[in-house]
Amino acid sequence: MEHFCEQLAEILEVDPANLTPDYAFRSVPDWGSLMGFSILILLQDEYGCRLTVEQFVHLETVGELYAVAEAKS
Amino acid sequence: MSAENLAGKRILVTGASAGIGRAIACALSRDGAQLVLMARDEARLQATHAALDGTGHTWISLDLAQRHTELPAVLKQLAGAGVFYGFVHAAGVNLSAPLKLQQWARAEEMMAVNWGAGLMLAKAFRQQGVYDKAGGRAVFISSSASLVGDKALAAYAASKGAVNAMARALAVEWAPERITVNVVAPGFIQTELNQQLRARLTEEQARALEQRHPLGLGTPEDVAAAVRFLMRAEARWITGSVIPVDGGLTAF
Repeated sequence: MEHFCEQLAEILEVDPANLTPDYAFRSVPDWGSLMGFSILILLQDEYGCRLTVEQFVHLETVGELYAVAEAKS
Repeated sequence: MSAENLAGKRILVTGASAGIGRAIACALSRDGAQLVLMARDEARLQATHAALDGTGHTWISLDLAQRHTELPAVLKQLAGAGVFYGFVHAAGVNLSAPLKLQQWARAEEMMAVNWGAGLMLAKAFRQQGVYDKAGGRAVFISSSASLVGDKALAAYAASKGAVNAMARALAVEWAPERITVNVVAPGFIQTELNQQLRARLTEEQARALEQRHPLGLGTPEDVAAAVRFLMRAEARWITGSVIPVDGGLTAF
């Protein structure tokens, strides 16, 4: 999970240490659609997981994202 | 438009297995052209072939980017059945990603298919015995992304911008042979491929995308109509042009 959090932190422009499993990733200060798109690409390219927007909007926490990534990799 | 306009003219269309390429092939066949369809997917090529008007059309399954070195020989062989009046390079890939997530492999694939394959196709076309010495037509399908910037499009836009620049240079190089070279730059077209991209947008983003096109989103047939005109005899004095077909996107 550490590596995943580092990748996510780079996208979200935050310190990886802040990204605990229950952290709501859309609450980062500069959240925007480009970050959402980036997460989708990360999941696809690095974890082989293709999510639709409908699936993605139901994910709220770092832990939920990680679970999706892990399930596929 | 009369069916005689392109009667008997042989035109090669890449990316003819779906979307814009398929619509172009169908439109040109209605003007009497004899099509050579090129793309990777054999089954889809056959489906396009079945949708064409008229007779004398053929198709060839080929991965343009992977097998570009074979193109000169392939076109020479195809020209055995008659020289080519023109070609349309409609094959393309869109592997857009925000820059942080962009990868060399994705960027390279876009450059290879969108631009590189077009360059090698042009080279293969301009061989003795392959192109029609009475004059001809080359059309490349680019994108509005090559004309206006947007997020996550840096690599894709560059690959399509390369197409525009290449076409201008070729227009000058091929003017003595009376081969016109033009680019059609579509806005967001509702194709199967783009529906997948659209599934990646929130409702709000999809609405915003639509609003950037004053005439709404386009169809493959809208793009085909422009290509069809450029292929006609009347378009003889248009070359080196990048023509936006985008519902007004670049009019903003």
